[in-house]
Amino acid sequence: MRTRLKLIPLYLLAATAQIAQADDIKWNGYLNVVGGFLRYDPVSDLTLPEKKQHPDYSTYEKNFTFDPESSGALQAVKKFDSKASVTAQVYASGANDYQAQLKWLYLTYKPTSHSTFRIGKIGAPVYYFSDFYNVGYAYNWVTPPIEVYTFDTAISGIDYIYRDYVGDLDWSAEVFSGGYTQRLPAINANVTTRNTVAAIFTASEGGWLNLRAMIYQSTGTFEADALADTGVIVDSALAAAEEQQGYPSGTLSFLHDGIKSQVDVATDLNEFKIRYAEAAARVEHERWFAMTEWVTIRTDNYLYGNLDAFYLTGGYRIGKALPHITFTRLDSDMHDDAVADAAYAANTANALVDPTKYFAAAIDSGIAQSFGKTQNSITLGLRYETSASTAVKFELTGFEEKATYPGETAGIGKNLLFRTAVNAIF
Amino acid sequence: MRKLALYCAMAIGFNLHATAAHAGEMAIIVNPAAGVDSLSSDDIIRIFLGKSTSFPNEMSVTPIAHKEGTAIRNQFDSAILHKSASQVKAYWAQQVFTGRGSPPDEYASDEEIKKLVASNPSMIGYIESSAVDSTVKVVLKVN
Repeated sequence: MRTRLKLIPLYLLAATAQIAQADDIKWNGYLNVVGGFLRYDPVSDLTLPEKKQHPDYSTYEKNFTFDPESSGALQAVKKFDSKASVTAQVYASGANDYQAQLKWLYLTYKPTSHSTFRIGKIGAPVYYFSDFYNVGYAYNWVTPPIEVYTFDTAISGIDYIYRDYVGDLDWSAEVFSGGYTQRLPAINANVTTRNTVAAIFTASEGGWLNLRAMIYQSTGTFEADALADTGVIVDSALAAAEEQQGYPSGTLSFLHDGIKSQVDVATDLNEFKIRYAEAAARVEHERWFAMTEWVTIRTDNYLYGNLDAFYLTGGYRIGKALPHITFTRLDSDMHDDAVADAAYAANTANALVDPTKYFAAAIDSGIAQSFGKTQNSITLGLRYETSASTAVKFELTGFEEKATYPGETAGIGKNLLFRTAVNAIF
Repeated sequence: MRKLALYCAMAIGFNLHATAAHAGEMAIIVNPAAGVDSLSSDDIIRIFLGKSTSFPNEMSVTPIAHKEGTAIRNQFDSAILHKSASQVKAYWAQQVFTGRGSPPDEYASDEEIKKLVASNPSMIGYIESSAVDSTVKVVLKVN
């Protein structure tokens, strides 16, 4: 059940809420008021390659806006005894039109001091900061680098962690299993996963060195509104070809069914395997920190292909200020079949040899190209502690989207993003 | 402009905690019946960061702390946990919002903490060394 709440009086929520303990219920919450603007409005125009293109970043635009990344949550933890508790978190974000929803709801059971089970709807622990991705106060950036952090969702299932230590070394081993369904409003798509199995290992030496590694496998289904009716896509491609060649409308319609059947195979996003691997290392001192995180995604899917991304970041504390710098890189590789189709479609002579195959190759590889992204960025940021519960942040991110395949022009170029944030926890 | 003004008001509108003068020698205390003669700083770090819920002798432990922003609290966070107040807050934000633990309950004075530790065998706290008496046992001293 969803309840519509407006986030406008955020400061009222923060000013009046406080940590309260009634019986065994503890209330906590967080607020992220995030605003920003781009130097250039995003331009991604396939039809006008000579037009100056600029990449996008979340849903930011040239005008200052708070909507893309502002969010807040209230969380209640009810303790039953020393071993069991239940956690519920209600979350709202500007990206989802500030609709409040029950993001997490799970039972925590600790049979021993080493073991913890969480059963229910939990945050999917994919990346280093996944568990508290939405708690802006908990890290230095306005948000973790989007090139790496492409996955923020709650997963329904079961999670088990075993923690222990040897001398100075704390370590943990975690496994989780489950699935989820999530609507992605920005691209009008639904994502469903099942049979997710993941294992995570962490090690911490004296609190100054933290290491993490994760492997993950899932079966996914991706339903994009734009791909719901491939017949419409084929009709558009044939109509464009007829106009280009000066043919009467309908001349090429006899190719429709053959092309559509091939496009349906290539754009099938039902039940495909997704595999992740992640590794991170963080060195932290009272004064400075440095960190790197790397992720790779492998699929056997024509449209998704593969992805590699990493970031390198560091910062130095000067009193209450923490200036920091971050480099990121994201590389997408098209599936080998999509690369072959793109090469086939680039040779217009093939349209006379096998027009059905030619049109299908052009449509399929064109869609696959829209799934890939190659991007670098550099971010200069400043975090300032205004109190032990609030932080103010400023960030400037210069980013460049590069061609994922030869001849790609849509959205290829540079842009600059300025963001500022107030993060609070209570 | 109004959006920006509202934003700035939020940024400065939260409570500011004054930093008090540095405290003197600090004693980590437990109940005499806890069966603990001494603890290493690593043991204390684990207990106060919620990584361990028992003493090395397997007895259950409950840490309690001074209130945020007090001199002795800042001293403990720096000298024992090797973290600033904001780093401790960020750490507990990570634990709380993943349901993996909650920070120690906070109390206002050495007397209150000493009284609680003296009457609860599972509790561990810290007070000024000068406040120590026979009702509690010192397991570590810190300057």
